[in-house]
Amino acid sequence: MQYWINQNGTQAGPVTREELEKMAITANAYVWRSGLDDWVEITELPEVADLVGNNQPIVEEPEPVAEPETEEPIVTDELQQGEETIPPIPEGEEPAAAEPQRAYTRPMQQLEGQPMPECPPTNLVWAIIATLLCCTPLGVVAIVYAAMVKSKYNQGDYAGAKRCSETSAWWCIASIVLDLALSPLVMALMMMGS
Amino acid sequence: MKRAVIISGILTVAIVAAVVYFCYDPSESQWFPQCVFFKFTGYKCPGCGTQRAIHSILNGDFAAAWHFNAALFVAIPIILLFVVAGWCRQKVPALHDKLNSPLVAIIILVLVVLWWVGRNIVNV
Repeated sequence: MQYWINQNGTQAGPVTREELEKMAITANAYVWRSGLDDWVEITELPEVADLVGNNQPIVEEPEPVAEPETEEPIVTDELQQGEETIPPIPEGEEPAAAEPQRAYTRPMQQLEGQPMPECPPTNLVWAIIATLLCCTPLGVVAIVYAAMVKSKYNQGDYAGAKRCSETSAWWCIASIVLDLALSPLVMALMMMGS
Repeated sequence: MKRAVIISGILTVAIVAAVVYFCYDPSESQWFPQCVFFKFTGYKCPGCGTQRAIHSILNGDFAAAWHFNAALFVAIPIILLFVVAGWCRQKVPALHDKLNSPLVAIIILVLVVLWWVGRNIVNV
């Protein structure tokens, strides 16, 4: 089974579970493997969720003295984990066998289409509609974030693209909500004035 | 399923809004939302006049609509293009990709800002 991992904007893959076990993985990492529609947070994928927090102190510790001591337990740890998780892997063997050729020929930064999932929605249309229908300048901010979605995606930063996509959607919603909330206020002020 | 609910929701709102804007003139009724930006700053926002323009378009008066908000005439074809590209995303992915590129978004951003500043200078 091949995995792609995106952590703090840096993407790596394809990697096997064994390679993932050697990486320092935090809970905010996204992972993808064939069979998934979209990237998921690593904590949502049970087969690799246990890797969160792995190797954290070991990677950050530069002291060479600690290495020989800590290395042994890691190796046994890996073996144990590997043995435990072997059963679910055979299910995905077919797609995994078909994929490597395609996947390995791609440079990591240009993962377009496959194996990278579809670009998250830019929400550009909604930003345009919000700008022209609402009277607060918030729609303009939504357009800015809409522009950033695709450029982040093209850089291979899927997590960043997804964040911008959500941000642009929230600015559209904020624009509409603020408008609906402020309009009655303005109407009331006008009536008081006249 | 979720998608169908969202689409039917949007359609319902659009149809109700169309009926309301067809029957009532926002410039004669005080029950339509007023532009907050215009009230506080005295400057027009990019969307000022859209309600009156939609009312005019629905009643076939395109000259009046152009006068109320000319940007709408540019925006409507663009919005329709985006909707069509979204529908045909599987068949024609290139169109969807091009429309959602950073370049298009930046062009739209520049146009919006130019329209915003320009309409307040020339007063249109």
